[in-house]
Amino acid sequence: MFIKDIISLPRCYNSIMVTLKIPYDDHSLDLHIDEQNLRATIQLPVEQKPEKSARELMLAALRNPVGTPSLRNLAVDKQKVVIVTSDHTRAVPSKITLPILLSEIRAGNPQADITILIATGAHRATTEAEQRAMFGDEIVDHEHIVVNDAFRPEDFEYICNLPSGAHFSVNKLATECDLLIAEGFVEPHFFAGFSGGRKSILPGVCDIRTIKENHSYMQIASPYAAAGVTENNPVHRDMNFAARKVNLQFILNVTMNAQKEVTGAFAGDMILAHEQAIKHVQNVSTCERVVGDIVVTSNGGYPLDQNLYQSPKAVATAEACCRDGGVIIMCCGCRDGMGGDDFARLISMGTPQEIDDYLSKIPADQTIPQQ
Amino acid sequence: MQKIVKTLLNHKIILVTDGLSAEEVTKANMQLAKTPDEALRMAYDVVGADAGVVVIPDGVAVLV
Repeated sequence: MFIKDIISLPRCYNSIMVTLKIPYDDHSLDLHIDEQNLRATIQLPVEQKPEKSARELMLAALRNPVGTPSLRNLAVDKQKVVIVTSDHTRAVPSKITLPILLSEIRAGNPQADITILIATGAHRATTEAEQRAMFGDEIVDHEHIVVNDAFRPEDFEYICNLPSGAHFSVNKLATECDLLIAEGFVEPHFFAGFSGGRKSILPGVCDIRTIKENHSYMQIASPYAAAGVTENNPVHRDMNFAARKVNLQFILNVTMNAQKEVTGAFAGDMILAHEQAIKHVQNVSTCERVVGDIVVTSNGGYPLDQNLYQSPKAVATAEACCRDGGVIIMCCGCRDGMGGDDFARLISMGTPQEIDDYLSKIPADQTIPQQ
Repeated sequence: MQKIVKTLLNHKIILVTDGLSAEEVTKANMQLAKTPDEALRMAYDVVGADAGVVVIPDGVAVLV
């Protein structure tokens, strides 16, 4: 016993403490951890600056679209053209993309009647000030812009039911035009797999019932409704089906790094170009999975850690690296508190089992917005 | 939201924040810690001092 104790002593004295920085609000917190406990640190390597400017990347993508003719050729003889763009909650660099898309369309048909339709999904309307910040004064002052309003039934047309059985009604502007295109931003999305592509249509320009049914308990409960997963993902499948059904003919999507610099541009067919963008995101974001008993994570600091409602994104990543029965440590500034009355009410209404039972019984068309 | 509830069925979540009260965090089925170090000590109490720890500084930026 005595000898063993002596031998074990140096191990204790030699333990090396490592300090790791965890993003938190607008700064970071220090985590001190014994090297012997630290199984892995999972993070991206330091990012390289993009070699080409955003504009150069986009022009190159438009010159060589995947699976479609060029946008200017598609626009020939097309009178009514709708460009679906993202709303104020997404970081799409529309100030650069929109002028390029507008000039490509007008190169094909100088008389084209173009509408810019802002894909709000179920979010609040994008304000004019936000539009000016996103698009620039030139576009706001001279182009025709419409904001999708999911709560105004007369704006929508029922199209069909989707593969999951979900209802699909879309903004009439999307069905009554001669050419429908979309611009977007591709990043991991924690139940659609990835954002961008078909997501501009569903949920982007759909009515509230369609969005609720797409985000229903049954759909999101699927193990395939997860970040980075498109195969067998029921949410993704319905979104692709919907966008094809309304003939989304062309997309321009970008990928960005943490500094919001454009790292890639992808143009052409709504599925093929989106898949190219997804491959690019996978190549730069995929890290080897290591499983631990304890996983420490964050939502990357402000703005994504501004409330608890946003925290499930990083928690899902942590869960994938945490053994059953393990502990997840989530660092989240929560400067705006819980983030939403529905979320606060639901997460506090009982034990996890009771909440899950309650949510599982909510019919798809009555899905609670923050469920 | 329903995803984090599923996570809570199989895992304990310790929340490091100064934006919410201990009561709010407890009602939300999590435990509050003031610092990552305090959270780590609480976690060792649950799964043992020799636990293997994985750190993902930005859980939104990576795919695993």
